[in-house]
Amino acid sequence: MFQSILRRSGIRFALLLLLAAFAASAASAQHSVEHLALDPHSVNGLALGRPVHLGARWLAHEGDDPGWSQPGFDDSQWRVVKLEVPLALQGMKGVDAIWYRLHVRIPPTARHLSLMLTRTEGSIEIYANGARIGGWGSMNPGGDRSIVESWTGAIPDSVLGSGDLTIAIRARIGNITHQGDFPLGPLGVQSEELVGPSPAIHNASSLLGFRDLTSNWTNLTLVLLVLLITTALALAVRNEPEYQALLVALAGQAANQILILWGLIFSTPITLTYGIFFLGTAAVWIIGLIEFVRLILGIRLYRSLLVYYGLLGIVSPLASICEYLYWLPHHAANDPIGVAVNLFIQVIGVPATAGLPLLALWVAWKKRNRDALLLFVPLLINASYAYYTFGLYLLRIFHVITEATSLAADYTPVKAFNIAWNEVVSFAFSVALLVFLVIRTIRLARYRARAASELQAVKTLQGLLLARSNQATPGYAVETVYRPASEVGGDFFLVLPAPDGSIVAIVGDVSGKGLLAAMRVSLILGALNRETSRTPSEVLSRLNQVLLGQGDMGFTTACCVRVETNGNFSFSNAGHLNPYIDGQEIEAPGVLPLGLKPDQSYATVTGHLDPGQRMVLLSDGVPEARAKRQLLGFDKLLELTRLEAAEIADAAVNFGQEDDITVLSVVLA
Amino acid sequence: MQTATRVTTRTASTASSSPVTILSFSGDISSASKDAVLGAYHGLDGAASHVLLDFTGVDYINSSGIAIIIQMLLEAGKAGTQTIGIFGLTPHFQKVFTMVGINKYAALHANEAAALAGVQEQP
Repeated sequence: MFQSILRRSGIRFALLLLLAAFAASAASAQHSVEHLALDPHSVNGLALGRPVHLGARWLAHEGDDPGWSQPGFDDSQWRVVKLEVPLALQGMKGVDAIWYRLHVRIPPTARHLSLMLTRTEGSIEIYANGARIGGWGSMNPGGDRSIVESWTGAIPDSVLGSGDLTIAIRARIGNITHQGDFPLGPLGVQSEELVGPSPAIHNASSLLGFRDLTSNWTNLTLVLLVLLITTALALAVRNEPEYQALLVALAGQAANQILILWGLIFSTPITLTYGIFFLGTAAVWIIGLIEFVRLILGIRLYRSLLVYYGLLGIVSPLASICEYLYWLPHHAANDPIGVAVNLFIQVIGVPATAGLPLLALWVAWKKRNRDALLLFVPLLINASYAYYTFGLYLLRIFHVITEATSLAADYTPVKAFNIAWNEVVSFAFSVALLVFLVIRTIRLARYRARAASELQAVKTLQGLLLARSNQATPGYAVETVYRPASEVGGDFFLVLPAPDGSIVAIVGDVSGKGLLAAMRVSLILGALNRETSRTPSEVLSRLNQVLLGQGDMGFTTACCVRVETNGNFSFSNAGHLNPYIDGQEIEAPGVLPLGLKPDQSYATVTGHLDPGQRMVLLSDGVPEARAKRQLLGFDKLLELTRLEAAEIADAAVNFGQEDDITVLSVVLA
Repeated sequence: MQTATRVTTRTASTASSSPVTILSFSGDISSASKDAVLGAYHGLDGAASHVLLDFTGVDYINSSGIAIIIQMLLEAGKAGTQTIGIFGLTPHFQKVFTMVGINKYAALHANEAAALAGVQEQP
């Protein structure tokens, strides 16, 4: 049953599962065969060296009589029907049981002959000179018309030898022929009937299968290639979720393609599981691709978008189910309700699946988004086909064109292979997507190379600035250790000598990481190097003024200490870690970090550093080193800050560095 | 490896039946949490005069995360119509919040009961 839907409902199926044009590629079997108008009373098959087409004219009669299989039965009064014209238009409306007969003149010596019938519809029995040589489906009244079958069978030599071959076909077609101009009957415009030597018929059968499925295989291969490349990209660039979205979408598309091919090759009957997988993979493909577009364009995942995805997830399978119901035997092709439901779903489905993503890309393209331009091409290809098939559907339901014309319009004029336009579209789409991926990857690689080079320049600059931070400090043993978490850091330190022989040491931390933090550090170090005051609270107040009004750049914490030659010290703190002396924290009142509040004042805490005692300033990268979600913590600082600066930094790095680590220690020399 | 920030909004009442809006955070709070945290705060009913920030489910807050909390508190301070309390912080982050002066903009409490009691004490 589903096989039939796959084959026959391709146009609307593709329309509604639009971006998954592949989903309809099974319609490849739905092509027109050119028939010769031979006389069914006596087809010339005397030259049986190669297969003989039996032509487009058969004798037909309503009803069911086993005697009609016999070669001697007099069928001279039977009506001659044209296969390309619906039975309903040939005076056979509402037919269920019907027989077809045809006489072929063959050489009396002919042996080892076979018969091939393709794309028959309904339940069928085949007779050659009265011998039943094949059949399928139920011969009970109302037999299953949805079976689409291609068949090749041998004609027993025992029935040959007379020079006449009477082929009789008994069919049950489930009262379908009253439904307007389509379908056409058990043998129709889609079917082909050949008789000839068995090897030649088998070759013809194989060739037919190859012709039918070549484009499907080609498209599947291409999809798998794009999937492979996307997998590589998704693994290589894990921080860019668009490739993961595309990977999911393509996996859905490939799985859907495989299901279709599987169905065509093995004539898989529809089961609930098959249906769920088929509809599910198609929905994954559609939603995944739209999500890919969203991520490429950097559109936020609004709640309304989630609703949109949810609707697509419902509308797509619903469309397929409608399609399924539409083709059931009792469901009239021109049933107004059926047409209305299909039309409604298509009116929603086409803009939802093809129109909106294309519109979003177009808008982004106008804003000079290069990715949007590149991605516009494959989606435009898909959308063009969607509107083409939608147009055909409208023409058909308003009887401007016949169903047969509409079906023919879905196929390319290429006769050597049965290629539907949707397969051409899927091929072009895959190629365009491949081109998009290649161009985007090259562009991003160039961009990253340039960014890496700029980052290196910033790293060098920061290194130079921090090297200057370590000025000669006679009378003091100052150690500084700086371990950025990435290429460039957001921590800074500076040691400034004062004219009276004292030193001012500052350790700070800019929130955030990367280039922005590094640039801010450069700004801060520049400001501090120009600073003339050596009073910690003044230094912080002026730095606060410098950093104010810098928009959304986060904040900066800093602790500034002045140590005099006699060991007296004073410090002020702006949201930073307090200094430690030999494992004891010297507490200062908490104050907001720098750059947040104008006119912020900073309290001064004073104390005395004895010779041999070590004062340690550090950044939060030390207590917030993290392993297995456990922080190193403030408690451990009481022990750690008794160590030398390098040992403190090493301990934090070994524990699990998450952030930049800076340690500065001062000992009176 | 940081985990995403989730924010849920609920309401509670003090002993004197004053309504209190509680924003409960979970996961890590970092620069990536800006939309989640500020979005939840901006989404609050303007009439919510008492707001509690619940950090019970938060594992880690980095400096960018603290910047976001401070930004929220400064906004609330400018509006002047809300009192904000904080509870559920680990001792580590209680110290960090104190260090950066957050305790001057929002009272820090050990748990929800203490925070609700704290709301009640305020005029």
